[in-house]
Amino acid sequence: MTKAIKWSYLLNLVGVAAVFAILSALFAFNGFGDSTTYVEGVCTTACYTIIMVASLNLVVGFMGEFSLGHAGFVSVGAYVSAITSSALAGKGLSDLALLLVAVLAGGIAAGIAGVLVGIPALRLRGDYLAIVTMAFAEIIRVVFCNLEITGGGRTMSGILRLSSFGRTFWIMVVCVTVMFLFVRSRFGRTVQAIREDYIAAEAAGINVTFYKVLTFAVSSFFAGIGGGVYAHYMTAMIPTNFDFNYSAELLSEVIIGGTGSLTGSIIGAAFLSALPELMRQFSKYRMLAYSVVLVLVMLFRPGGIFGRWEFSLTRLLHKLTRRKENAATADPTDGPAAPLAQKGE
Amino acid sequence: MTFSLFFQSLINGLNLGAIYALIALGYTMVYGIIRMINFAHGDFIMIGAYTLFYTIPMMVSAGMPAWLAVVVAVVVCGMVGILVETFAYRPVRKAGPMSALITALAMSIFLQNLAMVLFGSRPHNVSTIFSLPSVSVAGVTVSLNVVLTIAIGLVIMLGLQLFVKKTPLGKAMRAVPQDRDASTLMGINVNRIITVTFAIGSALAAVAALMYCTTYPRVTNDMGTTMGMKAFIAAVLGGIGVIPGAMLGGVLIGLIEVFVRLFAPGWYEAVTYGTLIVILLVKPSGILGRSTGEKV
Amino acid sequence: MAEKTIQTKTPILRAQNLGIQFGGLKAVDSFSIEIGESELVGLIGPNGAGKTTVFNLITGVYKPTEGSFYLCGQRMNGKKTHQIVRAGIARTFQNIRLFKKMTVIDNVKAAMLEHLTYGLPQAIFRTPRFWSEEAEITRRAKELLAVVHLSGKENLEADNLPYGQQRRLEIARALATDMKLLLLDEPAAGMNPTETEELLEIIDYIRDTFKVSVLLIEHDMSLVMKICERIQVLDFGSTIASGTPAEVANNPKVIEAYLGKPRKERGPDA
Repeated sequence: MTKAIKWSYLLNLVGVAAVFAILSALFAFNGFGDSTTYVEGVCTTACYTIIMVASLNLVVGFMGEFSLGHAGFVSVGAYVSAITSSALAGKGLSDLALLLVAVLAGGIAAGIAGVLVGIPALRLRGDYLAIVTMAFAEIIRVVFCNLEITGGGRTMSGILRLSSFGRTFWIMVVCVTVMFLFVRSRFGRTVQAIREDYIAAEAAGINVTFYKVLTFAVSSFFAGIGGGVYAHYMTAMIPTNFDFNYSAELLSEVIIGGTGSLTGSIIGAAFLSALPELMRQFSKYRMLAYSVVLVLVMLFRPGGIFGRWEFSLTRLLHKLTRRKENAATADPTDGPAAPLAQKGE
Repeated sequence: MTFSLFFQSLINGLNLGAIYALIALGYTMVYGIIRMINFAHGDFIMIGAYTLFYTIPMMVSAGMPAWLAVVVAVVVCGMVGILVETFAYRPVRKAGPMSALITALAMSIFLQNLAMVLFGSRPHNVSTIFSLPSVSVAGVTVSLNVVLTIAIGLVIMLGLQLFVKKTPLGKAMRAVPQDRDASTLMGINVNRIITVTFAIGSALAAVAALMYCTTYPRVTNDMGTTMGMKAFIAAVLGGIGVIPGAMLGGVLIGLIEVFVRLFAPGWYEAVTYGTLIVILLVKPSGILGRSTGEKV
Repeated sequence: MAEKTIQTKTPILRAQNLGIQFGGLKAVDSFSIEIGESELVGLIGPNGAGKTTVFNLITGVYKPTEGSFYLCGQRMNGKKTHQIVRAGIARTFQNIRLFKKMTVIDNVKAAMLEHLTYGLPQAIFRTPRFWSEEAEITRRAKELLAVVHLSGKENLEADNLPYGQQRRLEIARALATDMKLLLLDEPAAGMNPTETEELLEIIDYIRDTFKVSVLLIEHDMSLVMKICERIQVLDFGSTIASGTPAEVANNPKVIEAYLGKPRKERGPDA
C-alpha cells in the first residue's frame, strides 16, 4: 500500500510540475504574443482565486454550511500580510522569504479571526449562519475602513509586488494539497459526518462545535493566505473590494464547481476568474452572462458541475493503461488521489 | 444632546426605519412562505425607483397627478417579482436551500447588471412627488414629507397584517409554510399562493422605493445591495417570517443607524451588524421569531 | 452517593426520578431504572408514552428538569451528548440517521475517534502514526461490519443500502464508540421476520462478545418478550409496570394501557 501511495504522490508532483513547466515556458517565450503579460496576469489571478474558493469549499462543501462572509477573512489576510511585508521590507529578507512570511502572517491572522467569529457564529445553522457570517464580514470591512494603518477607508497602496506567477502557482499547489490531505483524514471524515447529520454525529461521540470551529479556522487560514497573495499581486486595495459581492462571487464559484469537490473548486475558480477577463470586450455584459450561467447551472446541475467527484491522475493513468489489477490495490480512501494536476484545463 | 437634536434624530430614525421595515416585509413574506432569502428583493427597489424616475415626468407632462407614477411602479415591481419567481425560483425550488440561495444571488447580480446596461451606472435624480411644507413643532422643523412617509409605512403594515390574518388568501399564505402537502389537499393552489406572495412583496418594494426617493432622490443600479442588506438584517433581527418582527426590526435598525451616526459616523454599520449578531446569539430566531428545533 | 453504589454491585446505568417538562407537559415523569452488566432490558409503551424521550434524556439531547442518572456510578447530568457517548452510552435512532452520502465503512470510522490520536500536523505530513492509526481503524471497522453482517459492503454509499442493512449499520456505528450501554430505538421497525431473526442473533452476539448492556425500545412485542430479561412499561411518561416478560404481560395496567390498540393488545401472546 505504501508503495502505491508513494508512487501516486510522485506522479502527482510530476503532473503539477509539468503543468507549471508548460505555462512558464509559454510565458517566457511570449507564447501568447502581445497578450502574454496579460494572460500571465489572468493565470496569477486564477491561482489565488483557487486558494480562496477551495478554502471556502471546506466550509460549504465539506461542512455543509453557507458562509457569505468569506471575503472578510480574505481581507484580514490581505491587510495583515501587506502591513507585515511593509514592516519587514529592507530587513535583508529575500523577496520570496518576505512574501512567505507576510502571507503566512496573513493566514494566521485570518485563522484567528476565523476562530473568533466561528465560536459564536457556528452555534447557528443554515440561513442564520449565512447571515451572521455576512454580518461579521461587514464588521471587518468597517473596521478596516476606520483604522489608520489600513488606509482609513481610502486606498492602501504601495504594497510590494511580490506575487509573481511562479510563486503564486506553488503557494496554490501547497495550499490545495494541504486542504486535500485535511479532507482525507479523520478531520475531513468527521466534518463530513457533521454535514450529513449533526445529531447522529453527536451520537457518534463527535464534538460537533469543536470540529466546526476547527474547519472554519482552517478555511479562514487559507482564505487569509489567498488574501495575502492577492495583496502582493494587486499592490493596492480598498476595504470595499472585499464587500458582500466578493463573498457572493466566491460562493458562486464554489457552487458552480461542485460543493464538496476540490477539483470543482480548482476548475471553477480558474475558469470563472478568467471568464470575465476573457470577455472584457463585452465588459458591459459579462456579469449579466455570468448570472445567467449561474441560474442555468442551478437548474440543470444543482450539485455543481463536478458534484463531489475528484480528479485522480493515478486513476486516469490506470484507466489509460488498463492496469485494473493495480488500481484495486490502491485504497481509494487512503490514497492521495490527485487533486492538483488539472490546471492544464 | 439637546432636545431638538434628539427629536430631529428620532424623526429621521423613524423615517429611515419605516423604509427599512417596508423592505423587510418583502423579505419576511417570501422567507415565511418558502424559507428562501430573496437576495433580489433589494434590487426590486431599484427597479421601482427607476420606474418612478421615468414615469413621474411622463405623468407631469401628460397633465396627470404625479402620484399615479407610484401605481405604475407598483405594477412594474409586482410583474418583475412574478417573472423572477416563475422563471428562476420555481424551477429550483425542489433542489434544496443551497440552490435557492445561489439562484437568488444570481438574480440579484442579473437585475443589477441589466439595469447598468439599460440605464448606465451614473446616478439619476428622481423628481419629487410630494412637496409638502415643513412645520415647526416644539422648536424643531419637521418636514411633512417625512411625516407622510412614516404614515404611509404604518398604514401599509397595518393593512398587510389585517390581510394576512383576516382574508382567506392571507390565511392560505400562512397555511402553506406549515405543511405544503396538507395545504394542497385542502384545495390551496400552493404555486399560486407563492406567486401572490412574491407579487405583494415586490409591490411593497415599489412603495419602499417611493418612500426612499422622497427622502434621498438618487437612483443607482446598485442601490438595492446596501438597502436590501440592511432591510434584510432588520427582518432577521425582528424574527424572519413574522410580519410584526419586520416592522420592529426595521424601526430598530433605522433608529440605531441615525443615533450611532451622531456619535461615531464611521462605525454605524458595524453597530448595526453587531446588534444583529448579539440578538441572534441570544435568541437565534430573532426578537419575535419562534424557534424551530429539530426533532430527534 | 456515588460511593454507596460502588460498594454494592455498580449498575451500568442508574436513573433516579428522571423527568422533563415541555411547557406545562410532563413528557417523562420520575423515570427510574437500573441496568446491570450485560443485561438486556426492554422499554415498551404505547405511542407517545415518552420512550424516545427517555433515550434523549439519557444521551443528553434533552437536559432533564428533574432527577439524575449515572453511568457506572458517574453522574452524567448536564453533560453534552458527545461527552456522554464518549463515556459509554451509544444509541441508534428510531428514524434511521446515517451519514447518508458517506461510504458504509466511513460511517463506522467516523465514530472511532477514541482510537485516533494523530493531530493536524500528522495528518498533513502523513506521518507513520497517521498510516498506522488509519490502518488500525480500518481493520476494526471491518470487524464491526462483519459483526452486523455487512462485510463486503464497505465501499457502498450508506444511502444505497436496503432498509434492514441501514439499521444494522447504525448498530455498527454505535459499537464503534466503544460503549458500555447500547440504546436501541425500535431496531426491528420495518423489518421482515427473517431480518428480525438476523437482528436478534446480532444483538445476542454483541452482548456475548462485547459484554455490553442493552436498553431496547420496541413495538414488536414478540421480539421484546423473547429476548429481554426485564421489561419496563411507560404510559404518559410514567412507569406503570416493570418486571420479567411474564409478569409484565399479565399486569392489568399494561393490558389497559394497550387497549384501544387492538393489534398490539394481543401482542404478548403472539
